[in-house]
Amino acid sequence: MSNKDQSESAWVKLARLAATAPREEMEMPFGFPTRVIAQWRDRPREAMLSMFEWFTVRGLAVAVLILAGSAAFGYDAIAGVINGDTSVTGGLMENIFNL
Amino acid sequence: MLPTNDDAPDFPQLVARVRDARDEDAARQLVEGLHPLVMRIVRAHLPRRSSEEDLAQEVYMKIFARIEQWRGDMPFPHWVSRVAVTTCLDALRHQKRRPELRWADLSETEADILQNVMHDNGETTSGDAVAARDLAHKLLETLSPADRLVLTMMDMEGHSVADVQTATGWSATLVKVRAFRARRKLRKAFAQLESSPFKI
Repeated sequence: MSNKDQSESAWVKLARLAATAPREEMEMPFGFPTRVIAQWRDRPREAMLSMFEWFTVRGLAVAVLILAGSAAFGYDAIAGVINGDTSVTGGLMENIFNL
Repeated sequence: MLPTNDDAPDFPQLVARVRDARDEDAARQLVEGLHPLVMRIVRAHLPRRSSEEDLAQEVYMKIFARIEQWRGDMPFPHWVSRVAVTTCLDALRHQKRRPELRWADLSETEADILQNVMHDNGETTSGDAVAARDLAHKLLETLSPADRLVLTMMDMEGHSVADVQTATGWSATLVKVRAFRARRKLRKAFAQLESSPFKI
């Protein structure tokens, strides 16, 4: 028998022997359901969290779309600012400093 | 097949009470009714040095948190199996994998059993079965969590490819490929043990 076959059959034999091991007791530890229920009661409902997550992800997607759209439509203005052809005056920061 | 029990509680009714009214009595009945199923899965896929009670509690928390996602398109125990299996898989992913198994890691009984299964000599007794199970788990710990899960279900528990699919949501091809690769890795582990210089 080759080494490969030997190792393969060794695993099969081992798994077969392991499967005959007596099953362990499935008895529930004392107070286990009470602990589970108490923990469940103290947790917020996942539906609320998933709804929040749903809105957050979609909100982010909308924000990205708006950003991409405004960049596309205002490309000339943005390119002008970057090239120095257009000067930015009366910006938000300037207004704040003038207050 | 995944287990189904005729004496099982009325799961759809209990689920509806938990989901709609957060009924604690119904939740308790669910915990008690699902306990054998959940514990069987948790014990089969428990990471080393982890508490089975803690992991079982985590499984129940996930069941209750996601209970609104069960639409009745599959039997409730099957859905619970899937939640339990994925929770165990996550727990196994957090565990550091055993790099390799050496003879020094084996007890005397385990080493004897390994010699017997590798060289087909010696009779095994029923008392060896427990040591064989421990040895099999040690070998499986050298695999990745997904590989370990597939071989535990298929080779140790005798589940079919379809059962693994139901419990994990993986495709049949993925299950078969994983099982094939995992068995190949186990062959290597056996070969390494065989060539180990510290053999008993």
